[in-house]
Amino acid sequence: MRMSSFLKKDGIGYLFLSPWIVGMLAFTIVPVAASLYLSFTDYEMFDSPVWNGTYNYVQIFTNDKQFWESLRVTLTYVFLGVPLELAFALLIALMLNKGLSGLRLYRALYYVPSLFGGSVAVALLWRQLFGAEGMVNGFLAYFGIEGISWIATPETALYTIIIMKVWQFGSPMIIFLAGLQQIPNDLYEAASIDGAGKVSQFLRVTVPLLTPIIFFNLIMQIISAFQAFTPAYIVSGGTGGPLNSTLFYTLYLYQKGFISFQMGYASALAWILLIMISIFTAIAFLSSKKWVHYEK
Amino acid sequence: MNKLLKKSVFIGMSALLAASVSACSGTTAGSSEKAVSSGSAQEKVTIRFAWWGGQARQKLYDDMIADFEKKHPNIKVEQEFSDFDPYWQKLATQAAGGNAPDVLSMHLTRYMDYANRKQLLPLDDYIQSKAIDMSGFDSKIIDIGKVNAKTIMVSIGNSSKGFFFNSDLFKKYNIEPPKFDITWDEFSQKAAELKKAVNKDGFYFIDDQSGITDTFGYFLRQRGKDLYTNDGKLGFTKEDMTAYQQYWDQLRKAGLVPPAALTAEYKGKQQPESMLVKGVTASAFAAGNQMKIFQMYMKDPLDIVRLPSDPKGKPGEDIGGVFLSISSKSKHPKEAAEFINYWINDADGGKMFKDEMGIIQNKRISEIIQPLRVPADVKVADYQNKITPYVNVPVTPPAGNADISKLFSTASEAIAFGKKSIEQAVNEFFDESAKVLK
Repeated sequence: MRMSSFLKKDGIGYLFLSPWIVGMLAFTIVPVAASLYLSFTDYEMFDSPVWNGTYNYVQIFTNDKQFWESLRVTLTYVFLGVPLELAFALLIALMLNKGLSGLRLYRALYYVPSLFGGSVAVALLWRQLFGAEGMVNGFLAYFGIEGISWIATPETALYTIIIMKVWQFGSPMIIFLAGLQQIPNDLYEAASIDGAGKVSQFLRVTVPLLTPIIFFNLIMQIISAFQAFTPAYIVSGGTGGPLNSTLFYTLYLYQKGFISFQMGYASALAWILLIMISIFTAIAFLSSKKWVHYEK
Repeated sequence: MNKLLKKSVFIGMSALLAASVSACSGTTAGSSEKAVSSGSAQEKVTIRFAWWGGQARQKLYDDMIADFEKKHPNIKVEQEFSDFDPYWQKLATQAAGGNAPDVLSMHLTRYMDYANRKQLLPLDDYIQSKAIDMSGFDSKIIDIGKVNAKTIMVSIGNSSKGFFFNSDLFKKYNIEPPKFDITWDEFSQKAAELKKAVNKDGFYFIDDQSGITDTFGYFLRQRGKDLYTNDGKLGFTKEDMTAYQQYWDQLRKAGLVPPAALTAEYKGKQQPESMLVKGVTASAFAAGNQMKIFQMYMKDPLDIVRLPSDPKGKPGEDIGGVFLSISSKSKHPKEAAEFINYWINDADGGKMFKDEMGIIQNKRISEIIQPLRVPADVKVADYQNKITPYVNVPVTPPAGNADISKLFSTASEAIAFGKKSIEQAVNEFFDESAKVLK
């Protein structure tokens, strides 16, 4: 009778969950497991996969220049783009938190770029802005500076994409703003009575109380930055050029899978990406004990 | 079981059932639907036809398919289409899932990926029985559609690359336009002559070809070689590649082709946004069927001659084009063959289709549509006829072709940006290629 008591207690719940469970199994768990298996095979898309052990992984780490190039591009993007974006988002949130009139309007306006997120339209716009005859150079021309084609020069192409990332600061900004409004005003009053200036109020009151929010934003942005694909794909026309300078990791993975048809190899690349993201997330979590303060 | 449980099981099950039924109804409409067509007792068959292109083409294909369905009331044709790049992504995924469309459009740069992996149905029986009638085709054109002596695709239009140039520009500056047979030396002299006459910053003779494997293929065939050997190895030596890179490097340094950054900026842009249309260059190497597209966006008339060649060498011409194939997994190969036959042999269809995908190779249909051709197509059809004797049947590229093309263009970029010497870039290209072509 144990079975029926289980059914009585939890069965109905699982029954109602079943559409979700089925979807989760069919569209997430099974494909993820399959890709793990495929990463240990030689799978050329139309042929059946052939088991080849760790060959793909060994090749990737020992015999693949483009892997290291794409890794360098993505890490630059993450470690430059994310801190800049968060700093910018915090700065704007602080300004908006001053109780400006029309706060809601500004909040909406600043959020708009994030709505376009990784959209194709924005990437196309970027291609135009930073082109040889784009608006950026048009602006520089006022000062008599002759600009280069920023998206087509290997030294600058990646940085135009990082600027795009910083520009899309809206969603961390909204979260910062919410966090700022949670900080009780009496703390600032107490601090100012104790003689703390604006800077020291910011460093000793605002930042510590905001650390859980900073932490949350950091994790979210690191994960999404590792997975960035659209900007590079559109800005470079799918090539990762010029000279592989915008060959993002995901773009390289995509090229291996859908242009070279090496699905086994691409699956291995995907798993390496997953492990990399996990490691950086874990580092952030472990370090958080040192710098994130939760109000008791 | 108590009452409540029973009831909720019932509700849950019916909800699931409803969900699965509604999910199914979406797919049954899409897959082969079997209905009895009015008037005939024949089973109605649905075939799927996949192609790439935009809205203008969709309108054309709608009309042709309506005509086909009228003439073949037992067949219904469903279209699947997208732009060129997504087309191949979708097709690859479908083929891997065993769900490729019955009739699919093929391209000379891609067919080997599918043919080598047995995704395309051999059509020889249909051709023999004239179910697909190819009697109006040049045998050379039929041969291009063969892999391992089996025909796996049928041409619906071919064109070879030509050297397009803005003929008004030559007239305006009183310079004699390029001859029909121009050598590489004459080509660079002509480039210098025009550049000097125009004397304008930011004006170049032609876009940089040093990273384009297609053009390199011409150069190699003139030397009696090719990009690949028949067994899928590189068909050229370091000396060949060095000579080719040196040629373009000289033109680049002389300001006759654009600097690296400009080339990178225009990469991947379509004809309306191309250097030729924007007046950045005076000429281009492009497939003949693109002339009318260029002309749609530029006023100055273009003329077409052969790509530069080596006076002591062999002809370098190959041919590009669009083909139709039948998936080896198709459940209705007979109907698919009827559809292909309509596309290449029906006079009404031909009058609509014209040279949409390059010059029509069925001589019978080509004569019928001659009066309907636009001036650009008349020029190109004439050009294509003139060079057909020179055309080589291209070597089937190996499966790693896409990687090799990328390595080649990266090597050229490294040279153009001054990051590597020609020698370094060529050596590196050969090292990396060896990893791809095992």
